[in-house]
Amino acid sequence: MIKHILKIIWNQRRSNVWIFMELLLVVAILWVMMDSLYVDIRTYRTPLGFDITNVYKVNFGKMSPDIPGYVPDELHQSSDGEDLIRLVDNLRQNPQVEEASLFYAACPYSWNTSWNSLIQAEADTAQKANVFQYFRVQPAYYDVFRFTDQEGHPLRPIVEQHTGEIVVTADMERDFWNGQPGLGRQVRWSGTSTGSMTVAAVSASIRRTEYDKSVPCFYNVWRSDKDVIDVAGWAQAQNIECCIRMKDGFRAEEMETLLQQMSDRLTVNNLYVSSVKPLQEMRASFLKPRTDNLTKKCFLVGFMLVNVFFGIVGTFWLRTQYRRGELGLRAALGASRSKLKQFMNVEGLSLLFFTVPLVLIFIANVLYFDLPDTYRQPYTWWRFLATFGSALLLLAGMIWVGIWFPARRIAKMDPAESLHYE
Amino acid sequence: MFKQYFKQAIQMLKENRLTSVVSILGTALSIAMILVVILQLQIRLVGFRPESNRDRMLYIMGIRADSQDNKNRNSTAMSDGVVKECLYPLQTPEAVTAITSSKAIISLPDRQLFEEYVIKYTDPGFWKVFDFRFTAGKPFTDADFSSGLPRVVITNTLARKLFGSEDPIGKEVMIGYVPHTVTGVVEDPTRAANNAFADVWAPYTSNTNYVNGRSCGGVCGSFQGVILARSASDFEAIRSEIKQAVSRYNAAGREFVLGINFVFSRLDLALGSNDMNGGILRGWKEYLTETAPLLLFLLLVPTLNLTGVVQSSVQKRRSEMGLRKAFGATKGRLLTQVLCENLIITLIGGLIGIVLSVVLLQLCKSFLLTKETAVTFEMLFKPVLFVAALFFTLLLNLLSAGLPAIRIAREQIVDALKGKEK
Repeated sequence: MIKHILKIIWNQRRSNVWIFMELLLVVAILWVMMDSLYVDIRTYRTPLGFDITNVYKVNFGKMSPDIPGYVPDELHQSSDGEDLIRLVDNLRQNPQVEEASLFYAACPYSWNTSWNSLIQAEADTAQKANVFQYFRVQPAYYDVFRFTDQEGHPLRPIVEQHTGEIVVTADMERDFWNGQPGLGRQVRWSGTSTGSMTVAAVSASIRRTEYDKSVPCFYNVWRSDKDVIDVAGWAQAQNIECCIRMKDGFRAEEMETLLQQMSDRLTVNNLYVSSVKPLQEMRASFLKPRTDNLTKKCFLVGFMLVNVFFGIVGTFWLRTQYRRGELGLRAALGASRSKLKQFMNVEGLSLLFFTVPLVLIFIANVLYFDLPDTYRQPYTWWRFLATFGSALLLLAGMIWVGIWFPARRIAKMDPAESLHYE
Repeated sequence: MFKQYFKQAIQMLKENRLTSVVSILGTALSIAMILVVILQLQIRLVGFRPESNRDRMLYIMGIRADSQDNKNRNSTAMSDGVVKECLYPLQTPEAVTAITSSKAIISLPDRQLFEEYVIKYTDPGFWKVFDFRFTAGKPFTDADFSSGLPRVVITNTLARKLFGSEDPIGKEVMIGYVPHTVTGVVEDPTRAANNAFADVWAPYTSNTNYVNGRSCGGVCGSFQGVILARSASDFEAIRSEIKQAVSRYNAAGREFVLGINFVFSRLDLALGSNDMNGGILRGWKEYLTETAPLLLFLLLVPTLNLTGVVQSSVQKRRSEMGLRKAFGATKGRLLTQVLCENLIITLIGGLIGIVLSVVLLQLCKSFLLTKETAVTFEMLFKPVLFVAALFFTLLLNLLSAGLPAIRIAREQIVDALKGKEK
């Protein structure tokens, strides 16, 4: 049967060549799309390392001296840093709030980041100092965002059990100590810095966003209020970041009422809570460009599939009309209707199959030049099979659906009438 | 003659309903997707309220401020000093304005609120450059501006939200604990008018952060300039006037040298020019290298579809063509006939495509623009849209029907009459 169909396809080459070229183009581009969707989705689905549901970002403001209600320095002894700590305590005491934490350049889904070099203190050979992203946080930060260690235990108790001011991520531990445990080891800011710091805990790998790969990074933990006050001294208290985790069951709409209720507790001397934003909202706007991109890719895939469907329906519909005589003859000679349908399906799928060698040449070239994203996900046979296979399967499905229409028409055909055309 | 082709084409459409529907839908979908791409550019380019006169606008998006010894280089925006000396004194333009955008919490004197709004600090010229529609009150005046009085114009949505009415003229809102008097209420601008868009507008002189900027010797600040020329032909004159103003400004021998390297037109901005990190001027070439492959792809896939269909239908009518040829129809005639017949399909598809593109843009607004962007009639139905639709429809027609038409026209009469496959 195959040989026979090949002959038919060859004889129909004039009209087949267009649909063949379309399939060729579409298979190649669909593979590119599938590969990039594969990387995006696989990356998106790996654990992030933290949890932002029910977490809100609290922004602070500071009154300027020309504002009515400004408390002049003579009237209060506390520094801005101390005021800030009191303000956060006020928030934490609210029964709806589970935990609150202050931190600096450590808010997920924000552009405010800090980077610094870090080296191992034990190794005496001159090391290349790499720069890593780092976060300055209170231990409560690990509860607000529900960070864990590599085994999934909550991180905060571990940090509090051990001494030390540095917490490294699993990637950093691997990077520094090649699979040896990093807990309790000594690190230094740079080769010239005096004094070393102790690693108090190792957290699970964390990723900056759903679309990024995890990279080594570390935390500088603020053990005491004095640490906060020091940072408030140079960074200004209102620039220190704060997030609160609300109790389960709290809804975003209730935030406004909650803030209204505690309004007098939201100002300490000249420092006040200016706005509160759900982190989900910040996440949506931070990720928007990449999510939009993903949606656009899906749309293009849809566009291609619809077009293949249209192309197959159009070509095969006209062909059944054009070949009514032949099909009638087959029917008259005893071919069953399902057999006729099968004939057309095989014909359509063969067209798709013929594109494979050419597309494989294309893929080989693309891979040779390392164009696909191999940074976020390694290129494996599984990835090739998943992306190429799904591209072919999607198209085969579309062809099958497209042929179903003309095939139904054949099924209705009366052999005697068809023969009339012969 | 054309009437005859028209009749014939309609007849053929009726005869092959399914194929016709498929071809028309395929064309419509492709034209719609192409138009969505064009519409995104169009929304960035054409004028609509409150930026109706975009064709006469020039934009200073950023400046350079390099220290005399060239060790410290900044790519930033204008200070109020630069605005006063280089922007306000310009003679050629009809109006100029300096704008800086920020976020602010808007509260009421008797009720602390926590929601953030977009605020633009600007000057009275703003209301001349942009044509806002005031539903109540009027803009803040030159006198308000020069004395730095806390006055604001707000949108009617915000007015309704804060005061429950659209006429809160004379009432007060609190911006960071400072009471501001509402002088006017405007109709909500669309977010697509990104230079004019805000929820609240205030004279920048009322905010001490924006006056007497001392950053990098008083050159760096946060203002961008928008210039309304009397006509687009004045652009060069205005650019050279700015150049003179800059050299006058630098003649004072400040610590930092001011450079205004780019004065963009709306077209430059629409094609992706910007003045961040040193600035880049992007023209049609850069835009097309980025967009043309996508457009080509959107055009090519349905073209191959249509070609297949046209090829099949022409094949079916070979004997008719042969007959016409035998009776003296020239090659050109047959060519025109096939093209004209196909044009009916593509034109119908094109028309549906225009409607579909507007629907698609509306449906996909959240990832093509932003969810909050209001898409108005006035920004969609511009000549650009229709010219683009016609152009791509004709192109699609030529590409899809051209080859089959040439082939059939060149066929030998005898072969055609016999209906023999070559």
